[in-house]
Amino acid sequence: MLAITLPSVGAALVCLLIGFLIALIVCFVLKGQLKSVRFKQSASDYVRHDTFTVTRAYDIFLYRNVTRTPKPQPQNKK
Amino acid sequence: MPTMQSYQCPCCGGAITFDSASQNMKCPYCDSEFEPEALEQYREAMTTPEPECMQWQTSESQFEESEQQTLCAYRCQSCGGELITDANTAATHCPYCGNPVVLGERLDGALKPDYVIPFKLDKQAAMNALLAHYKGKKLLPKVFRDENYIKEIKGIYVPFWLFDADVSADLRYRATRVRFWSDSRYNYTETRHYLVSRAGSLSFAKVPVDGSSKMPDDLMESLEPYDFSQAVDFHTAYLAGFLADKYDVDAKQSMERANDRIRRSTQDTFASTVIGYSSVIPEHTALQVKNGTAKYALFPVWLLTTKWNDQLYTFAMNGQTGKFAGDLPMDKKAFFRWLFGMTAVATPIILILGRVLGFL
Repeated sequence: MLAITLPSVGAALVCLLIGFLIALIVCFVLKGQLKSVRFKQSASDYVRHDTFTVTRAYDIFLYRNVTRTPKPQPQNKK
Repeated sequence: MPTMQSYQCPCCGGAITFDSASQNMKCPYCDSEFEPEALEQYREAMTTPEPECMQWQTSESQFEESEQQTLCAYRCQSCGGELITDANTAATHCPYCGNPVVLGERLDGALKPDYVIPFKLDKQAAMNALLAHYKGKKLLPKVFRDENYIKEIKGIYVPFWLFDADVSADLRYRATRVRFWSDSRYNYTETRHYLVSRAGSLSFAKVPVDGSSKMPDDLMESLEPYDFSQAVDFHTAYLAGFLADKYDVDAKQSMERANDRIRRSTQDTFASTVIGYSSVIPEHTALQVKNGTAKYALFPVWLLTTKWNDQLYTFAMNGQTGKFAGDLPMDKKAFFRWLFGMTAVATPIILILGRVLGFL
């Protein structure tokens, strides 16, 4: 038989917070639907077909960095 | 002498307008249809020079000096009524008889547009688009939707500058590739640094920039793109029945906006060739614009205005494609109703899921 137990106050508060954040995101999406006037950032609609040409393309390796961090070691059992 | 053109039907003499459905000039009285070019030739053949019939008022009703620069008076050829327009109006309606009139000399010489995209959609299509624009907006005030009263719907030919350019670009980026591995004692992170260089070219055609200071630039850009393949050589006949302004922002002033958009597109296009890196940071960008030209065109826009809570809301529809734009008000009460309602629904679901999945 499934035992029905009440959640702890902490767990309930965490769920409430997550639920509130989800609702807030949805509400801001709904608010965003009301705005449709924006500047166009680019002119990509007006690039002439087949005019894009790359005349030079090179990638030069400059240098490398290596960093290391110690792994947490398991404690020795006595 | 300031002159204006009203197109009269060769059959019945009624005032005729451009019909967006048939893409011809149509007489609303006898339903005759005429091609704009043919009507233009007919009008030119029928026009005889008229003596000066209008003088600037120089008596006590004289315009202020500042007004003289911005206002002009015309006499309607149909009813004789006097129209006062601002200096940029190129097509309007007579306030007395309602006949459409085109103020021809406003678009003569250097001010003559190179192209016009005729209206493809009518006023009813604009109304339908507005209603569709309201649909599905959960936070739109119900009162705004239900009691919406459109104050004005205007079909306007908006002046645009169209920029053509060939762009050469030279770009440099700093890029990194990151690799992770570990052994029994350490976690390693290797970052390899690269200098990436790209050069090339691309061309732009007909990048539009709004040439009217009266029109909000962001609203006009929201209606893009227009299909320029449907543009035709300019004839004043296309303006009959609509409003039109000549440009008051010249090509030089508009160039800066075109350059901004061209620069952004060029950067994006070349950045798309820099692949396989964990991070890419632009370090240097040099663009050269060659063969830059600017053409002047009139684009069709339906403008709808409504007032609500003492605030004016302006919507616009692309008169060619039907693309609609306009910011809507938000119902703050509805916002909080949705916020708390969804929180109330989501919280127990998360709680139950947490129990079932075993993390609570």
